[in-house]
Amino acid sequence: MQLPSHPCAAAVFAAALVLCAGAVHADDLADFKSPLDGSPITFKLQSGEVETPVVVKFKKTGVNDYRGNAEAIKDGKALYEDNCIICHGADGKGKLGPTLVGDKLIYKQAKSDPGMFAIIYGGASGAMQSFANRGMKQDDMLKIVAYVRTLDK
Amino acid sequence: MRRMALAVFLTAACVGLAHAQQIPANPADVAQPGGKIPGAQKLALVKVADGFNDPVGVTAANDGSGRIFVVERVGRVRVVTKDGKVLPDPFLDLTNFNPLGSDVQTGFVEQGLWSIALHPNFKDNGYVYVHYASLPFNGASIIARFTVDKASPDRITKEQLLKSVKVLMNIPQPYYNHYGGMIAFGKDGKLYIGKGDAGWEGDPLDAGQRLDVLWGKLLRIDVDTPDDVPYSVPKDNPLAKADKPQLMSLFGITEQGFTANKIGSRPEIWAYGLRNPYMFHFDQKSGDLFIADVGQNHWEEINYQPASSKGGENYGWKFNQGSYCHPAQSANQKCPIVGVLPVAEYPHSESFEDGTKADTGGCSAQGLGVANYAGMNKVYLVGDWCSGRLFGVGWDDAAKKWQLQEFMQTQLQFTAGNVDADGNVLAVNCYCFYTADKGPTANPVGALWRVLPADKVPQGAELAKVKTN
Repeated sequence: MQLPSHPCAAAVFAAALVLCAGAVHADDLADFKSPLDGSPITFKLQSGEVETPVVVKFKKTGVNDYRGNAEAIKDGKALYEDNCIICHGADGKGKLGPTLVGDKLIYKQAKSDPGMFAIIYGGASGAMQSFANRGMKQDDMLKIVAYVRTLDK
Repeated sequence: MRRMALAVFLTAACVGLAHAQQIPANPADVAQPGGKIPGAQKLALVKVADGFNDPVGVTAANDGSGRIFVVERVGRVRVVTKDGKVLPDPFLDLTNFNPLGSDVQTGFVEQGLWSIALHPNFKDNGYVYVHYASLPFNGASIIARFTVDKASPDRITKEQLLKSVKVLMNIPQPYYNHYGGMIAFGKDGKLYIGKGDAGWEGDPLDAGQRLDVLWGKLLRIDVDTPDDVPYSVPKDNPLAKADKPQLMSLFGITEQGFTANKIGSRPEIWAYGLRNPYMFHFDQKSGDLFIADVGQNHWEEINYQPASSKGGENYGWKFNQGSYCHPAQSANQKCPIVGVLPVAEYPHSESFEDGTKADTGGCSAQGLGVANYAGMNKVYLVGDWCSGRLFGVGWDDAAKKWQLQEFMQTQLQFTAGNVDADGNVLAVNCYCFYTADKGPTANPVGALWRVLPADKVPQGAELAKVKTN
């Protein structure tokens, strides 16, 4: 596909591509915040954790390249089963904890990938503790998000 | 004229009496989230100390020292001084006095050391009581007394532990959950013990309703016995004489009279029909009792017992969960209410088996203590382990009903609480959820908090993060 030659047009075109992807909206980066009080979150790596290119791009653009990636989704499923299934259910519709799919999410920010990532990273309330505190890598968090989105039918 | 005045006075007196708390007569009278406790001020949760391994219990010293004892599930009790400093050496350590290893079983997150209680005359006798899951006895729960050596007030050494130990009870436990936990002295000087229904789910042993087992109960024992007598049954326990040897009579006794015989019943029972009363608290002022009974998949309940109670209440498990049925299929399900209704209840994310959703509650009610400050009068503060919500349960005298008010939602997994020497409610939190338990010393550390009126928070205090959206 040929990008338009004029830089402004190219930028608009690229932005349109991003927006049309459906997964990302212009203000998603604002969702890197605590669901409790909206305070911004700073992301720290675990000791020895390498920040993968997917994570780097995600933090800059809000785009999660693991979406639709079969390999990553397979990993995400295994991680989900280890960490999330007990509260959020095999279908993501919740049981002990709230639903992760559909339109009525407990924390609106979870609709965007940055918003859901921020909740996994920093926790929400009570038993939904910070998984960063539990040693989870950010790359794994993105894979979980990618898997959870496949449950949203 | 005088007779009229007397009639008016008597009427007024009767009306005054009618304003006292009432146990709900119908499910509709049971308070649910969304209520408002008249006069209750805005609250803040202020950090007192942190760095605890899986704190699951807290008790304030009653000897004027201002110390607070924090229970660590692994089997240690830590001292927080009145200046908020955590002493490095534990007050009590059950993990290293047994030469074959720890005396405490901690394999499952509900197992470990749960509670410490100080004798009402602790200042003079140095008696402390603990309740924990025993490793040597394969998870049975032990209630034991140790004596503090006056020369070492902040530390019961290994030698002193072994020298002074008196075991009061050894209660077998078939499954690794629902042990209950809290032990506490009432104003009557008796030791009360919260025991869960022995575990699994759905009370497969029917422990709640059976009177021949100690599971699923609130127990009440007299610990002021000679050293060679573990405990005695208070003469005024409701079942103290329910199984006494006697001649049989078929006639000349009322129907009610015959019900006093409950053959095989355990006389230590104070109340029954409980699922997992991990926390319960007496109001220091009135002696009234609140029990936070952890629910199964759908409803948490708070029970209330006035100080005048003679015991024997049946709180309904496993026939009822809160004011609903068990199994709780739907909101409209019909079933008998067995025994005494709770005064307040709140739902899990899924409030019924039919998939009804709710987001006003949590999943495990951890009672914290009865508050008589910050505009509150006999309000039972309850923290939820799963949702981090802090609730209050209180009687609304104007509306003549119970209210369940949500004060705040925090990030904390509340486990336990108690009242400090000044009457403020304390709370502890862990990072020890079922699916994220790395072991009793490997989870992120928990903290000790104090509930204060929001306008009385000291300068520079650290507050718990709360939901503002």
